[in-house]
Amino acid sequence: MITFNQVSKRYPGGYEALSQVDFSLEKGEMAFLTGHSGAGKSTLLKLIAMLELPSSGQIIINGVRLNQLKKRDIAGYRCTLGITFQSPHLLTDRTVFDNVALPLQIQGFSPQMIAKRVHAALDMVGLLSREKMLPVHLSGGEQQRVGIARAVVHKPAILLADEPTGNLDPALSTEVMKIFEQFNQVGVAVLVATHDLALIASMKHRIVMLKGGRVC
Amino acid sequence: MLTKLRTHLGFHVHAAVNSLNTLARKPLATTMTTVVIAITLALPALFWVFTDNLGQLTVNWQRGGHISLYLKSPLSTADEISTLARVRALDSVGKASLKSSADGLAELQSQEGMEDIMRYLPENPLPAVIEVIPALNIDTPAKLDQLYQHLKVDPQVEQAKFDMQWINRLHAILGFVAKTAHGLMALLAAAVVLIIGNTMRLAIHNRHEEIQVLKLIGATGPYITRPFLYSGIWYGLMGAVLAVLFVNIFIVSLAIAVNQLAAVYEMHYTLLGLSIRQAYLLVLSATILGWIGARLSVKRQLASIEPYN
Repeated sequence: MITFNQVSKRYPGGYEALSQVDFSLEKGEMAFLTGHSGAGKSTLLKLIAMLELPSSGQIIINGVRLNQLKKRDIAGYRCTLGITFQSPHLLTDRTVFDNVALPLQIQGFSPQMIAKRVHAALDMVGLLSREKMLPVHLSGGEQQRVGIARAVVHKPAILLADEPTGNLDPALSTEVMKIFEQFNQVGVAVLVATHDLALIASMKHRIVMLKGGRVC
Repeated sequence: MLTKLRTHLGFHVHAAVNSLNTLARKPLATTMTTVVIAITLALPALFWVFTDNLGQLTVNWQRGGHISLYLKSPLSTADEISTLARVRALDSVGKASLKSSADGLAELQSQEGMEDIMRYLPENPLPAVIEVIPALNIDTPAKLDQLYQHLKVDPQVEQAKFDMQWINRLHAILGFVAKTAHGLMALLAAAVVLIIGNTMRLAIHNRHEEIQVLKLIGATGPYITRPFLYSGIWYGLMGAVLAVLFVNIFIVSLAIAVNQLAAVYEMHYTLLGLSIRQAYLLVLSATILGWIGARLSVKRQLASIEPYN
């Protein structure tokens, strides 16, 4: 599903965030990406989402060679991903429902289909009763879960999460991880970048350790 | 194919409604921008209306202006009448009246002091005159000149008199005014494009985060651009409708003063407002200008926004 071949990322100024990374994630697999701050976790996720381009090496996602992807095809490619960040980046002037509905609107689903899918996604993260509220009226944990609902509502093949539990207390963190496991069980490949070692140690999934931009 | 079309239509309806909602959420800012656009559009529209009215006015004046045909003398009454009939038969002649030499003499003698002078003249020196008022369809100097040339060569006509100069001058001035109006229109159209372009630039700036999120979750360029283009279209449309309103209110308030002025000159003149066709054309062109302004500004700016770089 995800294959990295000798991928390096060097930023202008010479800083090398990733050097010659070989890494792969199978279809339907769930893995944790961990390491200290600056180890290259976020960079790796950004390369998958094409928010950054690698300096060298090859990335193949779901059969797509990213270095051969044309600029106008990037949007279509991103539709196959679900992405959630430490800060959920919700639109503050729209309701929870409208926020979650965004990926479906972009892909041109009918209003009936959008309502059905959004309700299912909100139900999954336990926020169905909050659909008409604005994000500012929700707690941090709830906002994070709205972000997750938005990342999965269009049934992506791959779910990427960058420090999804960074702002949450341990109980909420466990809850969020459980939600990711639920998606994984229905066949979605999940890659979670986190430095919460205690939390991931309690879960039985592969752990990929990054150190100084290398997999170890 | 049909589903694809329906999806596309859905995108457009969504973008159109969404952009209208966004504008409605900030009524004060939207109103101010619309009024600025309306004033910018009202200026060339007013100019347009004024040149139309001036054109109308000169048609009225030309109708007032007539050609005097001095017939050869002496001429028998029968010849005078047959000449009058010949002139009247022309399509381009509206009205023609004969003043015989006797009539002319009587008129002159009725004036103070002229009676004595006339008494010493051995015979009536005045020729018969036919006053010709051109038909309504003679509305350009060229047509008028054609009629004049035609009448001049009539065998019974000694001399034809018609002062073309002032009408030519007036038309030259009108042509100049129309040219100025065109230049002004081009300038103000550019102003509308710039105003809407700048408004869109600010709108994009305010919605920077939303655009980032949309790009991140895979929205295409056209999807993100569309609501801004519709905003431009709405601004152009609303501005033009308001401009039509402004112009017509102005014309109605001016009409009273114009009627008073016309009454002093013993003229009846109705001031023309924007016609339906003109209003329609103004709204259509402003809408297109709005779209152009939005497109120029949005396309360049959206390319510079990348999600979380």
